[in-house]
This record gives sequence, C-alpha cells and structure tokens, in this order.
Amino acid sequence: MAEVRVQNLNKSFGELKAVNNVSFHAKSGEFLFLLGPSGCGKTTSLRTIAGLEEQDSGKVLVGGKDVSDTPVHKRNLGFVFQNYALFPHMTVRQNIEFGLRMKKINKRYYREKVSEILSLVGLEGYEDRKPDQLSGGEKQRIALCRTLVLDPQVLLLDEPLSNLDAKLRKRMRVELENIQNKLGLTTIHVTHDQEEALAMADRIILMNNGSIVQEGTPPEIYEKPLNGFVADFMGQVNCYRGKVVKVTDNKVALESEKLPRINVLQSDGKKLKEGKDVFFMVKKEGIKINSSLNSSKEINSVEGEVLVASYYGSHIEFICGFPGKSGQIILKAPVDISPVPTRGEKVNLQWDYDNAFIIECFA
Amino acid sequence: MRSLQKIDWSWLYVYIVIFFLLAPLISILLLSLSRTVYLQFPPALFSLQWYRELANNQALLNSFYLSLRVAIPATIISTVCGTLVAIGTRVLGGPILKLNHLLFLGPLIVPYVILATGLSRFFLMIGVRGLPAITLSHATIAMPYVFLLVYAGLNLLPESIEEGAQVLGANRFKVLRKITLPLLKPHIFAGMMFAFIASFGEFIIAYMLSGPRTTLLTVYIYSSVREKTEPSLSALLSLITIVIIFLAFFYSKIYLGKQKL
Amino acid sequence: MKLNWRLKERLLEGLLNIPGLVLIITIWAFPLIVLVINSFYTNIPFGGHVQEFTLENYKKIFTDPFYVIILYRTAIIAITVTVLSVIISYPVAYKLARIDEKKAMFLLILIVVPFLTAVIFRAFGLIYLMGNRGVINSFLHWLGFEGISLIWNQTAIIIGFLNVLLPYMLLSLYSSIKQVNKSVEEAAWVLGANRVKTTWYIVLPQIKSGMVTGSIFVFAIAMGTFEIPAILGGMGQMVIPMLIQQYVSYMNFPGASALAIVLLGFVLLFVGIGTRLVGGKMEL
Repeated sequence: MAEVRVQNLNKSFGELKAVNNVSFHAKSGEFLFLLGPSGCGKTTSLRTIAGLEEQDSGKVLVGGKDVSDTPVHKRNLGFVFQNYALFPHMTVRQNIEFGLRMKKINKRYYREKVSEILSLVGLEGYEDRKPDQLSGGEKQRIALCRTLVLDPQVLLLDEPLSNLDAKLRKRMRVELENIQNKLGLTTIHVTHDQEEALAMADRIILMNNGSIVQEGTPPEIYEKPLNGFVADFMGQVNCYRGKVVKVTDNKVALESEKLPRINVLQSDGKKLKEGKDVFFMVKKEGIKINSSLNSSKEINSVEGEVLVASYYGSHIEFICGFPGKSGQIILKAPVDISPVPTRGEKVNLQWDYDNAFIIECFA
Repeated sequence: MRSLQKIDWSWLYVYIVIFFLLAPLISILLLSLSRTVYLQFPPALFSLQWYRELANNQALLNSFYLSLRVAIPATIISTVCGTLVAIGTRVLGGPILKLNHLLFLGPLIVPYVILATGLSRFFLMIGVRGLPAITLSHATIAMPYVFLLVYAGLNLLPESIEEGAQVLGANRFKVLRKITLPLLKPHIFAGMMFAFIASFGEFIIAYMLSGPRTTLLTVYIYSSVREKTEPSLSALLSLITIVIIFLAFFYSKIYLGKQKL
Repeated sequence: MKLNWRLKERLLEGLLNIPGLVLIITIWAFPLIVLVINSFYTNIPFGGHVQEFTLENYKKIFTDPFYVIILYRTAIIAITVTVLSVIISYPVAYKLARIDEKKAMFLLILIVVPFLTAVIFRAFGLIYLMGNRGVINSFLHWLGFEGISLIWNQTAIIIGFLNVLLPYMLLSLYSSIKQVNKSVEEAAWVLGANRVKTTWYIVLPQIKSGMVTGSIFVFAIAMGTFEIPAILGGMGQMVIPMLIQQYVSYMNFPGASALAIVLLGFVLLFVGIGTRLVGGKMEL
C-alpha cells in the first residue's frame, strides 16, 4: 500500500486562502482523518491529492512519486464523494464496471469482480438496480465498490457519511472500518464530525482556516489539546481563558473574566507561574452538579446558577451561569440524577482533578 | 358563496384567453373541413375535399418538401454545433465568456428581419443563393435554442458525477462521451425540437433569400394570403398542427414524467 | 510556464466551440457588420450604391416625416402590445402557477401548441377569422348585420401580435410566479391584505425579472416581425420591417440597412432599460 505525502501545499480561490502551507503524510495502511469545521481546507486538500483541484504551490507524492503532473484519470487513487456521484443512467453493475473498462481490463473478469465486491459490502444481487432505486446507505456502499474494485493503493473519502442519518452513520462507520482494516488501504478521510474521527482514526489532522492546528492520535488530540480551538472543537470541554493569580504547591488559583475565582488542583500545577495567561478546560461529562445546600469544596469547585436544563434522552444537559461574571458552563449529567436541579436554582459544581486541566496560552 | 363566484370568473377568463390563442388554429381546422371555399357562418361542414385536393397540389406539396429539405439539415447542423458550444463554453471565463454569450445568444434578441437584410447582401456578395443559403441561415438562428437548452442541462449536472468518472480513470473525452452526453440526451432532444420548429416556421429570411424555384412553405402561405385563396393549404396546416399536438402531449408524458436528471 | 495536462485538457475542450463559432461569425456576425457598413452608403436607384461614408440615411430617418411616422407607428404598436401582454397574461399565469401541476400541465400544453406553430400559420388563421369574408363577418351577416372591416388597421395588428406573443409573456410570468413562495402571500392575507394589495406589494416586486424577460422578447418581436403587420395591417399600416423588406426588394441596401440598424437600436435600447430595471444580468 502506498504512502501519501503532501508538502507545503498552498491553494487560494481568488482572495480566499483555502489551504495555507499544509504538509502532512499518511503512512502506508494508515487510517488518517482530516478533521475541521467547514471551510478549513480539508476538502480542498483532499481534492488536490486526487488532482481535482490544482495547487498554487506545493507537492503531492504518492508512493514517493510526485503526481502533480499526472492527470486525474491516471492517478489511480480511490475517491468517494459526499453525494456519492453514482452515474444515474447506468445500473449498479455498469457503475462498478466503469473503472474496469477505463483500465481496459478484460471483460471476462467483470462478472466475478462485480459480485465479489458487492459481497464485500453485503449488497449481493444488486447488480441490475439503478441508483435512483437505492437508499442513501446503499448508494454509499456502491460508491465504495466502484472504487475498491480497482484495487487502489490509496482511498480518499470526502465526508462519505455526512449525508446519512445518525443511525445509519454509526453502522456505516463500522463497515468502513472493517473494510479499511481488511484491505489495509492507506485511507484519508475528511470529516467535520469529531466523534467520527475519534472513533475511527489511527491519526487525526485537525485543521482550521487553511492551516493544520494539531496532529496526533485520537487520545493525544482529545486529552492534550494544544489550544482553545482544539479543545473546543473536540467538543467535550468547556474552555476559558484566564490568568494565574497564585500557585501553592499543585493548587492553582485562577482569575477569569468569565468565571468566578477558582482553585484548581493539577498534578503539574507547580510548573505554572503567577501572572501567566492560561486556558482552563473542564470536561462537560466530568462535572457533578449539586444543590448549593451541600458543602461546597474549596478546590475544583465553583458556584453557579442553573440557566437551562435540557433533556437529551441519554443525559441531561445543564447550562449554568455565574452571578457577576459573563461566562457559562455546560455540563452533562446522568438522567437518574436526583433531585433534579431546576432553573434559577443555585448549585455547586465540582469536578475530579483528572477531568480538568490548565494549559498555557501560546500568544 | 362569494368565493365560489370569484373562482368561476377567473377560470372563465383563463378559458377565454386560451380560446383566443387557439382560435386561429381552430379556424384553420374548420376551414379544412368546410364544404365551401370560405369559412362561413354557420359553417358548412364536413368535407374532406380539401385534403383530397392537397394530394394534387404540386406547388404546395413542393414547398412543404422544400421546407423539410431546409429544416432537417439545419436542425442537424445547429444541434451538433449548439451542443458542442454548450460543452465548450464551460472552460471559458471573464470577457471571453461574455463575448461568447453575446455571439451565441445574440440571434435571440436581434430581429430576424435585420439579419435577413444583412444576409441578402452577404449571400449576394459571395454568390450563394437558394436552399443552401437558407439552410445555413436557419442553422445559425436555431443554434441559440440548442445552446440554451443544453447549457441549462449542463448546469443541472452535478460536477461530482463527471469528477467521479475522471477519478475512475476516464480522460475528459471519455467522460464527455460516456457520461456527459448520455445524461444530456433529453436536453439535446428538446433543443433539436426547438431548432426544427425555429427553422420550419421561419418566414422573413426564407422570403428574402428565396428565388422563384425555392419557395418554402411559409413563403407559400404568405403569397396565398395576398393573392389567391387556397383551402388545400388549410388542409396541410391542419395536418401539421395535429402532428404538433400529438408530439406535444407525447413529449410531456415521457419527459415531464421523469423529472429527475 | 506550465503547459501542464490541465491546460491541455481545457484547450481541447475549448476547441469544441469552433464549429459553432465559425457558423455564427460567418452567417450572423459578419452579415450584421456588412449591414452596418452599408447603412453609411448612398443608394443609387435600381442597383448599386456609392461607397462613400455618409450619415444621410440616418438623418433622413429621423427627420423626414415619412420615416418618422413609420418609426413612431412601429414603436407604439410594440409598446402597446408589450403592456397589454403583461396585463392580459398575468391573471392566467397566476392561476396556472397556483393550481395543481398536473392540471396546469394540460392547459400549458394548450398554450404552447400554437406557440410551436409558425407565426404565419396563425396569421393565416387570423385572416380567416377577421377578414372581410371571414368567420366573424359571416357570423355578423348571418345575424343580419353589415360586415365590419376588422383588418387593415392598427387594432388588427395589435390583436395579431397578442395572439402570437401572449404565450411568451405567459410562460415567462408563469415560471416567475412559481418561484414566489405561496406562504409569503398567505402571510400577507393573514396580515389583512386583499388580493389586489397582495399582488401589487408582494407578488409583482418578486417577479420583476420574469416580467422584464418576457417584455424584452415581446417588444423585440413586436417591433421586428414582418408577417403580422403585413398580413393583418396591409400597406396602409406600414411598419419598419415592411419598409425594410420593400427596400431590399428594390435592392436599396443602404436604405434598408439604415432602417434595420435603427430598428436594432430601438430593440437594444429597450433591452438596456430592461436589464437596468432588474439590476444587471438576467437569467433565462
């Protein structure tokens, strides 16, 4: 399986710099994710690898070879589009055979290859259907078949699961992972869904505004975000900017515009100096909520007032505000919490020390 | 009750307008079946004599035949050229694109009488006359219709489908041949229909470029109105109208039934 | 200098324009240029012309009462037809746009069928309806009245043009109205606007571009069509297209060309005003 390397890629659309000096590589057999909000440059980067966009500068190497001068149809990279792009005037069989025809593979192999690839995705017998007779999930799998039947060295996926409903998406995630695993394909998957990336990726490249913000394995990115954007995007934390007021052993006192003064116990809290600008992050799932009547602790705790309580089926989400401060904190509580705090109630919020952390701001 | 009255009036108005639009064709139809030369009131129906006379009216049949001899090649030329231009326009941008639109959509705005004048002078200059001149002229005025319809069809085609073919190994030419053109079939067909109608029904260019032996049907109709009365003409026109009606309903059943691309 | 594959692909695809380009330049653009050039020459009766640049032709057209009257008549007819076509077809277009599509389809086909037949077919039919020995006069005779002369006047021309041009305006308005969200109208009703007010304040502003597109086609055709005025109006109702044809038959190319360019000027002026009203480029 081939390795894909992107070096110093730059691409602008008119005034907009979509991809800004981006470099990364996907190791052979790796399941790499390009993750980020809309407009961050992930899709443009992917399309540039496929040749569907032309970079202003920079190189794309596949298996060590510079492919910039290779036309799209000769790059031999698998590509699945967000809207699947099945040929509406052809049957499933003809769609799958298309690539084989282009490669001028002998026709007598077609039948076998088509049925083989269809069984791989569990759609045996679908050969003679037309795309408008297929459901979303089926179309997606046929789009995959079309590409996999050609034994590509690399698989490029442009938000392939985004157009599916939530349940189908989870199922397809598993299927996709299985296929990738089984075939050992070097895969680059573009998505804006951080849950998807965390669940499936070997490595994640997080992008924003055309640049790479952080690179790493899912645990690395989730637990050690380099800055507030990363932490916020990964979605699981509340993030606040603040200043270190006082450090006593591992206890750090923080002042912040958005939060009342808090004391945070951190394992390497000693390292922080007074006066430093920091980010304080606490996981939404790691906060416990109690009525203020219980004793409030001095450390890893803050008092607030319930603004909103929303029932989400699997959990209850509370948004609390702080009198005199502009910030809010979001937390996820289990459904069986009792008594359930109500709007306007004064509450005490506590967290375990490994559910929160402070990192320095990089100016 | 008031609202019921309102609905009736507005539908009546609609029917009156539609009847007004159909009136000339209806009168031609009735005339073709009339026993008298002029359409009288009360109409003296039914007689197929004019249809029989049509079969013997050499001059009229000849003009019909000539109209086809012009319209069919003109349709083919304009459909081919128009489709190619619609596809080729996609790579253009900026001022060249504007020039392209000006040239290829211009014939829709500039009245034919103006073009006809220029054409008479032009063909006089280069010494071409008669059917070839008319055919080429019709092909040119029909092309914008094909261009518009195919261009609209191209805009409906998601880019990703052609990109999908490219990524699977098809070069641009193969993509056009195997993916784009097949998907444009309904639009090309519609363009063809419009092109044919544009040519077949065109008058002033055919009139100015015609000669004594190249009288097309539209020119024949004009002389008939000015000079002599010819009921067999109404028979021919009725037949043509009936064919058009059938084609219109047929087309709507097939192509508008499938709204998807 | 990147002569890469992408550029090559684009160039080859750009070549597809060539056949059409050759056709349009030789048969459309070039003859029009010839026309413009000829308009500056002086005519020698019965063939030939003086190849000297002169503005005489244009001066005559705008000063000689003979021409001015014809110009005026042509323009008035065209404007009248345009305005009437909007007024007459709006209610029909609205109705069709607001009813179930299947029912609308049938009526639309009925409207489109005459549209697909040649203008001259319909002129032929109209003469039989309106002529001195036509259906309407026969009907009047049958009722015991004197025949009336319905044709060979301006009204006949306007009726003839409306017959031919209402479908253009209708279809244009129909597709525009279809794009206006019905719920916006319903919101207006709920807020207390009656039908007239809703039409004026809510619907019309949103269909401006459809109205302009339709008007441009109607005006251009009404100004530049020969068949209808020639057949229904006759020599007594001379309009510019008829005059042009006459001059061409006398081989007076300079005269015909100048008239043609003036006609084109009017049409382009109208198009220009129209696109300005809609604010820039229109879509078809």
